[in-house]
Amino acid sequence: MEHPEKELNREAKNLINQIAVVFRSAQFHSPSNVAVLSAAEKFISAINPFIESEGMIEIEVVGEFFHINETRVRYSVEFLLNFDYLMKEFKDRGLGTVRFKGIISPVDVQRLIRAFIGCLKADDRFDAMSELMQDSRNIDIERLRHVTEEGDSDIRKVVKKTYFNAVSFSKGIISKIKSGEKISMKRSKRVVESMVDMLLEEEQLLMGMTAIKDYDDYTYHHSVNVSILAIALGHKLALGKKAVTELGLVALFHDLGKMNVPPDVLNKPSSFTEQEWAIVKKHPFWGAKAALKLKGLDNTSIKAAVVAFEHHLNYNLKGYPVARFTKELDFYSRIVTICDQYDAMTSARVYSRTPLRPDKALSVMVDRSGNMLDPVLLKVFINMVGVYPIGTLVFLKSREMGLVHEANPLYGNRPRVLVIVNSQGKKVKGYVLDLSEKDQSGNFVRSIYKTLDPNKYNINLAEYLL
Amino acid sequence: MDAESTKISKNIVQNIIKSKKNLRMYPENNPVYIKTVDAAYNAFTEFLDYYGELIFRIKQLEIIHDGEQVYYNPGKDDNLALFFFKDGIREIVFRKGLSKQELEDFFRIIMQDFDKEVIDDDVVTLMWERDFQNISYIVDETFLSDEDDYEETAARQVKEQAAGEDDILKAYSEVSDEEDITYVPVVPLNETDIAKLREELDKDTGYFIHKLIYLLFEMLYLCEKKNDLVDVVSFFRSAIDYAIQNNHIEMAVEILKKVDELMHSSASPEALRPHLRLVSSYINSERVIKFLGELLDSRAASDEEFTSELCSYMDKSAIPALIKILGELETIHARKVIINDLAIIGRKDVAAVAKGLNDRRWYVVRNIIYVLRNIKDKRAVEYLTKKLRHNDIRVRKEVIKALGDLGGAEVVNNLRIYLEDTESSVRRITARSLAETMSPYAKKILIEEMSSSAFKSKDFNEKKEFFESVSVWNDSDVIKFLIKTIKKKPFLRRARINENRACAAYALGLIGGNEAREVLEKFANTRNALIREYANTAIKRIDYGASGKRA
Repeated sequence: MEHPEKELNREAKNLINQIAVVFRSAQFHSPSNVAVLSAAEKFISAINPFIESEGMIEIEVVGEFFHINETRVRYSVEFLLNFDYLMKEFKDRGLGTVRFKGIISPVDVQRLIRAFIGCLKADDRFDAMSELMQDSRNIDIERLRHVTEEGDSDIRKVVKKTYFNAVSFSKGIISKIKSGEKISMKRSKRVVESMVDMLLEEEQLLMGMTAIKDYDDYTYHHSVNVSILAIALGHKLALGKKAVTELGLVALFHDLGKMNVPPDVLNKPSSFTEQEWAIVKKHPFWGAKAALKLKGLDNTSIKAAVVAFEHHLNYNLKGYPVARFTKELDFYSRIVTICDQYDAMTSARVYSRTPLRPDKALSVMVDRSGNMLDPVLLKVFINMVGVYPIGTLVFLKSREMGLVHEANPLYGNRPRVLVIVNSQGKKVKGYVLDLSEKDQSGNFVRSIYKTLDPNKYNINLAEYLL
Repeated sequence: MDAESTKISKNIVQNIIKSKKNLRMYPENNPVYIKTVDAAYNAFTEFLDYYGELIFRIKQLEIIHDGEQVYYNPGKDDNLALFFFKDGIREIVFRKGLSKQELEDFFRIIMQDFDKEVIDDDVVTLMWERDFQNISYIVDETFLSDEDDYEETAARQVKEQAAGEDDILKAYSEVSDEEDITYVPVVPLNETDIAKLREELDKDTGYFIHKLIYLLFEMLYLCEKKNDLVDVVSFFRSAIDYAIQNNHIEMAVEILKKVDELMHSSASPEALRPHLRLVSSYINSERVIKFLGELLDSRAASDEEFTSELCSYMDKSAIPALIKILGELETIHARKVIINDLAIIGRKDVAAVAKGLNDRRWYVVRNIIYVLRNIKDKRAVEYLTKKLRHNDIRVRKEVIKALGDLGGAEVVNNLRIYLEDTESSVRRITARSLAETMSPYAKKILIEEMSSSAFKSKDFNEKKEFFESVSVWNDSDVIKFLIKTIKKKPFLRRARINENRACAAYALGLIGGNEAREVLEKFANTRNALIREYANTAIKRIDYGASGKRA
């Protein structure tokens, strides 16, 4: 027999999927169309037994998750498309909660559908939807809750703490391995778990930390950044908590082999000689060796070794080290490769001495899709970071300049921007603009004109994010 | 909160302590286990139904509820507060809605002995992975950082490098020189992408061992220094251990197959060969054979084909370890696999297998005799003969059988003394073994024995077996002896002699042929029921064969 909690979660997932199907079909057909009616009927027969046993069903968006009656609904790959769709649609309307208070009828669902679709033309979609739902006795809705400024500052502190704990830990690992000490897998897991928790709660803030590149301890920050990006990507791929942790852990260890590269080569300010390149290219081998020596063999150490070895091998098996026996790259390796390339390309202290702007880096990665990088995973990655990832320095058509502060899941090219120079060309302390904001005639108020390289002008995100 | 709530929460803590102990001691279906969980669940429910939530603040040696101490233990052993505290837990909250399953899972987590090296997780990790709906906790993560002030230092450093106003304004003024926006398409996933992802996520653990194998071969070819080669060889050995321990024998076979292929390939670098040999020889080690034995005993090894294939990579150096494990295995199934393996490998070194005859455990000696018998190498006779006087009858019997199979004429004298053994079963096996030798001398001994006056006093079944044994020669001497026996007219001890005559009829039936049939015909209607029955059965056998169908 299935575990009752698992069964409940499966039914909860099914419910989210059903409501997504209802709204999706209503976007293409009129509410009285047979496809919509049939989807609504299925939804009703799925939700009513729930309402009957629980008294009420509340579907709420919290962070990046749906909650049903305060219980988080786990992501699952089979419903990925519908979950993502519904999340975007809820956020687009500022809709936080839909509450089913009593046994619902087809009329109740029709009213919900009409409100859901009918509010789209309004400036404030949530208000419009609320108004259209006014007469509904069995269903009511609530606006999406935002964290208060004060809370925001506290969360920021926790995020920072989590990030720096991870970097400090990653630094400690290297020095311990170098001195022949054993490292604690228990602690490693805890570090990654805290990052996973933070990412599930505050994805944008934690991703923002990865955009700060100018630390002296580049290697350690890079490992943590790759781990965070991999965790985020794993989460988008609907991996379970345990699998995401494992992915974060192997990503954290992906560059272990760099500890064998002499520091004068690793930190060389100019380009590498052929001989130096030959040394650097050995780090995947050394990394795999170190990972296999971390502890006895188990799934995690095997995956860590495989990822450390393969993270510079391309999707088409070219790259380095030369693959003689490998027939395809590991799934985790392909994830870590994408995150590694992105973080490396946008940083100033790797083999390529000139860092790329985040949007430029993504464009280079798109060119590599199918040859060097897994095309499906890259697609998910770009969907995740958006066209203008956090940390991109943007110049707006309104002549304001700022840094991308938060991605907009609905409009990939319209993030929230922290303005650092106003339209008069004066440096300002920083205020946030939402580029998806529209004027009365329905046109966007502000748009991005150009992107700039923050490193070129020595502009550091740390000033604004730390 | 009140004194009553403190009293109940103290009781709950005691329930937690009891559950932690009892769930560790008893299996899930044991009444004590079930009773413990039920009692704890009732205590929790009583509290939560009334108060809604139960918050325990964890200090190093005490647990506090609502400002009141509900647990205190100054010692370090079995200290519940310290158990949570050392992994960073500072508060645990139980909420209304807590299910019995959740509570049981919570107990199953805290019953673990986290001080053991083998567990890679701590209590926080296990609780985190379990993702409770109605149990939450607050953790102090400070101990995760290796440097106390790292955050402060790193943040200061990076802020010091931050751009001045001039740099920012320079960027602002030079914007027209910058490249245009790079367009990056954001394409949603389609159904094919999702299907591909699902396929990736469904891969099982076997896949990772497979990946490990390929990784190790890649690494082997990239080794530049001797210590790298030493390391990679040790990884291969660990991989073989891991594959066998996790019931992926096919993966160990894959490693050995590939190693074998590379050793025989002219393209393989000469320097690698000694290291490849070190990998392939590992399969003969006591350690691997011990793991194999454990797997076989657990009956987890699902594919016998892979097990035999794995054993086919062993060489004679595996023999001592295989013999050793033979004495340690607990199941017949496992012993059978190892015996069969020894029978194959043993052909390469009979002397090594024969060393197992000196084992102190009778059953190991018997197994080794069986192995030697199956090796079918005459050189084993010398070793086996020495065991004819083993003090365990089961061993002696096995030796007699083996000598019969292997020995030929030279073992007849060694065997004949067992025709006088006090045990009927030994005498019967000896008769069969003498017949197995097919030596004329053995025939002579058997006929002499069966002609002796003492023979007629033996048990009927024993006599029958002797007659059956002698029938294998199927020659005139034997036929003559049988005819003489069947025709013998008894005067004294008639019943015993008639038994011999019935047995002779039986043996004539086995030999067959016209001469035997003609003799048997004469006894088909004899007055003695026993002889008549055996004569008629023997005639039928001659006419219709052993299957009962006409020849």
